[in-house]
Amino acid sequence: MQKNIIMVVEDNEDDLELTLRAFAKNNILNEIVIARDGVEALDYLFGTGVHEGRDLRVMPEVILLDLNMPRMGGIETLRKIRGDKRTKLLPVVVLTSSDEEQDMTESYECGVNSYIRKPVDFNQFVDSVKQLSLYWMVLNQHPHTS
Amino acid sequence: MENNTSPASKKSNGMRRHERNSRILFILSLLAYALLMFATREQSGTAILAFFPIVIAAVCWGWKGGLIAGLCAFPVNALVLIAIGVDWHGMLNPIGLVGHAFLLFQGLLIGFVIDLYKQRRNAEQHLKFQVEQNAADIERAQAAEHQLKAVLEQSADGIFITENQNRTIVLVNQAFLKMTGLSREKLIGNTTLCFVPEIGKTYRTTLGDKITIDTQYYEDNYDILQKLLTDGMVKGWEYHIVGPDDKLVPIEANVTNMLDQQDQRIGAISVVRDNTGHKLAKKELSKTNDYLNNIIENSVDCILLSDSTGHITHVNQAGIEMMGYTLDEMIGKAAMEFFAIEEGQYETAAGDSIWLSTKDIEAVYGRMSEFFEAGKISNYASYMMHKNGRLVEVEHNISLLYDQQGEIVGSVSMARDRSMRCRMERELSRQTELLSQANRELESFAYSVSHDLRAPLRSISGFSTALEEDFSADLPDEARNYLQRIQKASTRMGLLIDDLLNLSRVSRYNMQREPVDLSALAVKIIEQLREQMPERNVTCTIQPDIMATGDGHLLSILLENLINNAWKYTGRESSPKITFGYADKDDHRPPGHEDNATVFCVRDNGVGFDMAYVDKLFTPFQRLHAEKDFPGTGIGLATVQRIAHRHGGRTWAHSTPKKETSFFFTL
Repeated sequence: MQKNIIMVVEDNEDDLELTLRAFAKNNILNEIVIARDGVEALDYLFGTGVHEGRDLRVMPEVILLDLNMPRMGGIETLRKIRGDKRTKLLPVVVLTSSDEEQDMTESYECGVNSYIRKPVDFNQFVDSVKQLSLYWMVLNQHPHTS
Repeated sequence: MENNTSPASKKSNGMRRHERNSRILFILSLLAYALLMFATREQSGTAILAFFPIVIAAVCWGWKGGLIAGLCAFPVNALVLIAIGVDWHGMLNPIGLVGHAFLLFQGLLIGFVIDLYKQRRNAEQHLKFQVEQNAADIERAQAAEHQLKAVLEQSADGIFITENQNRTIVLVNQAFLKMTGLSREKLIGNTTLCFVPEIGKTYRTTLGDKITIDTQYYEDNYDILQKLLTDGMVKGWEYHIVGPDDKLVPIEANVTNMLDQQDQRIGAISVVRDNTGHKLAKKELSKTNDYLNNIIENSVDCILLSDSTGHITHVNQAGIEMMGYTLDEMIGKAAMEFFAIEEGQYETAAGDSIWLSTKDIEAVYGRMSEFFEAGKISNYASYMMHKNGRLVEVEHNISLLYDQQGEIVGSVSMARDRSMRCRMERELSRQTELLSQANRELESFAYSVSHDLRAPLRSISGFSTALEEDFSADLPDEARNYLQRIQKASTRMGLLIDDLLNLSRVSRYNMQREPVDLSALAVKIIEQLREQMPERNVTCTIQPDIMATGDGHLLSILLENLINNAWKYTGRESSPKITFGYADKDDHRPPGHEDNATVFCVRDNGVGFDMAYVDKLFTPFQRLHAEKDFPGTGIGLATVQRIAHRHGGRTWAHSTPKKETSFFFTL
């Protein structure tokens, strides 16, 4: 059983590339699972679609979720995650361009664990990724449901 | 005179009766004398008896004059008899017979004389009595006349009496003298011409106006005079007399003809009343009425007057125009009829098309019911129906009218045509809605653009950093320099976008007004700045307990921007000072900012700015200092202004560089 998977749900290739680079720069060597939108993410989490038959005991340690995505956006995805008992306790961090009050409120209402705005400056972004990895992967204690 | 049974006439009748009886007695006594003479013709001394009938006659008359005459007759008789030489015995001879005949004649003569005398006496007595009677009558008449004159004198109305034909004045009373200002001497014996206005002359009247006496005036009065002659009296005859100071006095006269016993007109009595006061009061009343009528008729509002049963008694011109009916069509109708409406689509008098729902109509009737409860209703929005079916939107006022006893006598209803205004308002509200919709779209556009711009910006920043990191060794210094510039520029653009987002957020923020302690906010902001930059030593003076009403969050952003600015621009001073408080009275106020709003002020002794560019201060992205001297995006003051505007306030600034720079705001 593999542990410490980080799931990144992001439709923007550049942002994805930069996020992965930030992980690399911070020497985060965990397995990264990538989903391009909410639908893909849910397929993975619930073992449906292309991920049918996946071992559902393996769940990500943390999910980095973008808000604006095609097909299924971040908020809806979050709702689905929180709505299923298999995934409802998974730590979800919203990582987005938006710092709108409404987006934040909605995210927290849907049970997000953290809300981080992507800084424009790449060095700051690297720093943010470092801190969130440290926090969620190392410091944070979390019950394992499966 | 028939019924005048005076004592004088009674006495006269009695005397006549007495006379008649006396004559009969006298004749009877003559016959007795003749018989006696015949019987005693041979006896002496019987002649004495010759006097007897005369004495009897006198006594019978009961008048001492008769006795004297009889006694006087005796010596005369005797002398006559002696002179003719008769003796008692010779009485029957011819001479004696003559003597007897003479005696008889004498008796008759004396009786006749006495009779004449008595008649005369009676006549004299009667005349005297008549004279006395007349004197008493005259005295009584004079007393009555005196009383009458006193009454005439006392009368408050002027009275004058004229004689026939030449209209000579024979009597005037005090009131009339006062009215004309002439003396009694001047009037009595004169004609009425001395107080009648002259033809062709212009007079001032006691009413304060002027009258020219024309021929028409005279003709009119002549007609009335003719009427007096035929009818015998004229009542309420209005004409003028010339009063004191040659002013005409308007009078009202009642004139009655005076007739003699043969019903011939012998003159006229005029009772005249000074009409000045009455006319002035009437004039004043008519002036007031004219004034009120003018107000009603010239009002631009529709004015409906109704009686106590709510039926229209008058509509002014504006009302006629507003509703399209003629006055006759409206008079007598129930006023409410013109305010009756029902649900439906209407075209208004201003050409607008509106839908009146049952709810709208209930609202109108709901307000109208206030009138029935309170007797008065002010400025409620109502509707009237024009004859052409168009709806007139009005602002309506109704009040009950009461008389002096507090009884309802009617109501006055005033309606102002607001159709055009309502149309404008609806137009305005449509435009406002469109505008705010456009604004919302613009805001949302700015928001999404800002967001969407951030993503590629991250890529630019990220990949240029990656390029520099990963391929640094292969790149010439110039290329590395360019890459750094790209990173810096994208970072700055990120800041700009963030500030723009903040600015747009200030506009979209849902404000909540509450009391805000600005002093406490300022203290907190300065504490934060001191924490962030402990190396700075700034003297900060915060006036305590400055309270304002506004949104705490927005006001915090406003103060943060101003104090941060002050903090930033005093960075090069050796002894920097920042103050926050109320503006002073002598502080500069630009035109249009002279109202009474409380002015707050943040001051510093920093670098300041050139007053030539003061207009650009509050415009987004406008900066008055180089980025390298004082970094910033130029959004801060624009944000300050937008927050002040959202509170209904204003901002302005004044600077004397390096000495004192003040930023003012009102809320």
